[in-house]
Amino acid sequence: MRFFKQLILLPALLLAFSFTAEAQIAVKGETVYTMAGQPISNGVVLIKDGKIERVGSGINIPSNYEVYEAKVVTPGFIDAHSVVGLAGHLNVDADQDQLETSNPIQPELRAIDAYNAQEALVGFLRDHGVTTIHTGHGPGALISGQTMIIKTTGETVDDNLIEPSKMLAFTLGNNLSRAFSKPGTRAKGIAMLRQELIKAQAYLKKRNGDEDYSKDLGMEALADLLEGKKTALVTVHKANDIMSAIRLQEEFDFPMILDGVAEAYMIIDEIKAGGYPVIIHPSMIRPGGDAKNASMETAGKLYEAGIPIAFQSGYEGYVPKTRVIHYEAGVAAANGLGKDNALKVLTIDAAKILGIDNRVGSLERGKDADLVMFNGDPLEYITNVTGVIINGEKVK
Amino acid sequence: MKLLRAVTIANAIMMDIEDRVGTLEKGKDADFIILDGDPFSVYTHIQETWIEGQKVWDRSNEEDKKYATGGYQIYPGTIHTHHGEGGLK
Repeated sequence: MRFFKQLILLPALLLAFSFTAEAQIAVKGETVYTMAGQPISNGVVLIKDGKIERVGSGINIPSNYEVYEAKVVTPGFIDAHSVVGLAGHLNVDADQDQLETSNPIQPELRAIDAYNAQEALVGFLRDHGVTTIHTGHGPGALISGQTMIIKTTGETVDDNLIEPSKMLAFTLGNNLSRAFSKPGTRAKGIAMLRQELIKAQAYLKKRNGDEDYSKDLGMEALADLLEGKKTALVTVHKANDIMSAIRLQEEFDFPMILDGVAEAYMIIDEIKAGGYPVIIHPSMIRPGGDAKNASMETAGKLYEAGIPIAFQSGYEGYVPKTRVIHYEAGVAAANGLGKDNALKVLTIDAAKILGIDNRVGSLERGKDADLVMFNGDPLEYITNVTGVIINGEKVK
Repeated sequence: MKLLRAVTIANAIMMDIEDRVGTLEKGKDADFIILDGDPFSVYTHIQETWIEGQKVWDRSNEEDKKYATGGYQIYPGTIHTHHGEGGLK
């Protein structure tokens, strides 16, 4: 019986493999937003072997290419901060791995050890045009763990991983889990982080020296941060807490991206002076707690000030457990950011902030063939995603 | 049009208040909004809200606008939250 099954499966597998490996696709769009120059009217994107072969108008489509048509075509969207894949849609203990509450500082926790590539929420984002996510340990601990960058397709974490360890997730202010006995106050939290970073400075000296030292996983991660091999992703909302993040960064001189920052519009000059990119809170964040002064206009104000921004689905405490970034982008677009800027922020700007713009974020020859098809303006709620292609493979 | 009914007259009928609200007709309550575009476009903003013939909200007023865009809990003495005075607990 088993032999019989294999007989049937083998040709089927071979057939599937030959299609995915050699798929040649042409996508025609009434409007193609390449994000590398002006949008193209009646454009064509040719895809070969998972990469973009050619983009333009008036291109002859070879007869062996599979052709898809759409009203609007964009590069795949990039969700610059998510917990999807660690947080699951069932919202039960068994599928919630985004926050470990045994210790408030655990930079050693790797996202790749928890990510579930087959989680339904990953598919949910993919169906909404998100082709790349920066995901991992969530807000809620002083340092909750590491993050990674991955495409929203594949059977396991290894299939389409872009960066196995990108950032360390920090949280400042009043957004820490109540499971921790400390810190109880803001100053204690900063003191704990400073102490840990001072230890990491000493550790780094040993690591770079000739003496023997015993390896410490948490110190390894923090030493990487101090060497600039990892970036601090600091989730923080209130203006005074953002200033604390800036003080910490200036003292220890590590790469930092600010995340959330509901009150960023009160201290735009300070954020700009430090050169910190911002992964802005969802436009429709619930305005409560530290984020009570959140505004739908912040994305537009930061953009206008020349601060690099990206959109995020963020962390959602309860079902549906994730947001969808192009809806958040639509609201930002309507409140000062504008449509064209919002599309840039969803794609190429996010790719630049995450350091992956050599592969994704725009439709250009040689880049990964990640693109989304729509039956109307991508930011309108009444528009549908009609197709998604990742690495040259049609996944929706 | 079906979608517009689903946020106006269909709901009024469901709650048995269609004699007063849900359509713009002679004799009904003067409850209406003024928009600057397609009601279901993400780019459209409500400009004014009127209830029983009185303008109760106006986007062109900066203080009013904050109730649509956020950032309305900033100033001391004007703290408004759905948990009452004093901010969220």
